[in-house]
Amino acid sequence: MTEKLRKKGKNAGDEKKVTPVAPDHVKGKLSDVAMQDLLGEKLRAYYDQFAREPVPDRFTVLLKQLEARGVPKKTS
Amino acid sequence: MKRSNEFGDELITAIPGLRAFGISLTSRSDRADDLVQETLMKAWKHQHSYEPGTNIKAWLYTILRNEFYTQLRKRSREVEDADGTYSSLVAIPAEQHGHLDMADLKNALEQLPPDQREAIILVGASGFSYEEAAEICQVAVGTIKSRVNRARNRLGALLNDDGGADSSQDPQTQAMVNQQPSADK
Repeated sequence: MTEKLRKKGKNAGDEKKVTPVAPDHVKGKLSDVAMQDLLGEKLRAYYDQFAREPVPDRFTVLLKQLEARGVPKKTS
Repeated sequence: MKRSNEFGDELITAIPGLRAFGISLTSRSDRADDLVQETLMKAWKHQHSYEPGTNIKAWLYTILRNEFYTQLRKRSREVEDADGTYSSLVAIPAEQHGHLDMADLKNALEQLPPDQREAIILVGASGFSYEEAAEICQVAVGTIKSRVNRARNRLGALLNDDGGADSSQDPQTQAMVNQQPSADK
C-alpha cells in the first residue's frame, strides 16, 4: 500500500530532460532552451511596452495635490 | 519641505514601472491605474516609514502588490460587472511574426496563478533580483525561485503548444485536401 502512495508522488513529467537546441529551420515546437530565451526576451518586451508609456496626467496632478497638502504627520 | 519634493520626484520616477507591474498583474489598464493611484497615496501618507537610501522601488512595488491582493479579495465577493469587464482590457497589438506574439504571452500570463505571475514578472521583466522579489512578495527567496521556475515551465508549455496552431493547416486537414477524390478510376 505504501508502494501505491509512493507512486502517486512520482511525476514522470518532472524529470529533468536535456533537450538539444533545435536547428533554426525546424518548424513547430521550440526546444526548452530556445523557448526560455525567447520567453525572457518577450516578457521584457511585454513589460517595457507599458513601462515606456508617459506618466498619465492624473498622476502628476495627484502628486501636485499631495505635495501642496504637505508631508503628513507621523501618526503617533 | 525640500524632502517632500524629493520624495515626490522619486514617486514620479517610479510610476511607469508601477503601471507596467499593475497592468501585468491585472491585464487591465484601468485597474492598474487605480492600483498606482492607491499606491501613490499610501506611499505619500506613510513616507515617514520609508527609510531614505533604502530600495524605494521595492517598497512601492510592495504597496502596489498588497493593494492588488486586497482588491482581488474584495472583488471575489462582488459580481463581475458585465459591461465593464472587457471594456478596458489592454489591447495588445498582434504581431504575426515569430513563434510568440504579445497577445499569446498575455493570454498565457493570465493562465498562471497570481503568485507565479507576480514572481515571473518581478524577476523576468521588472529586473528585480530574487532577493528583492522575495522581499516584495514577503516570502522566502527559495519560494520565489520555485515560483519563477514553475511559471517559466508553464509559460513555455502554454506558448509552445499553441505556438504553431494558427500557422497554415494542420496535417490532417492537409491530408484531406490532398486526398480529393480524383475523378473515376
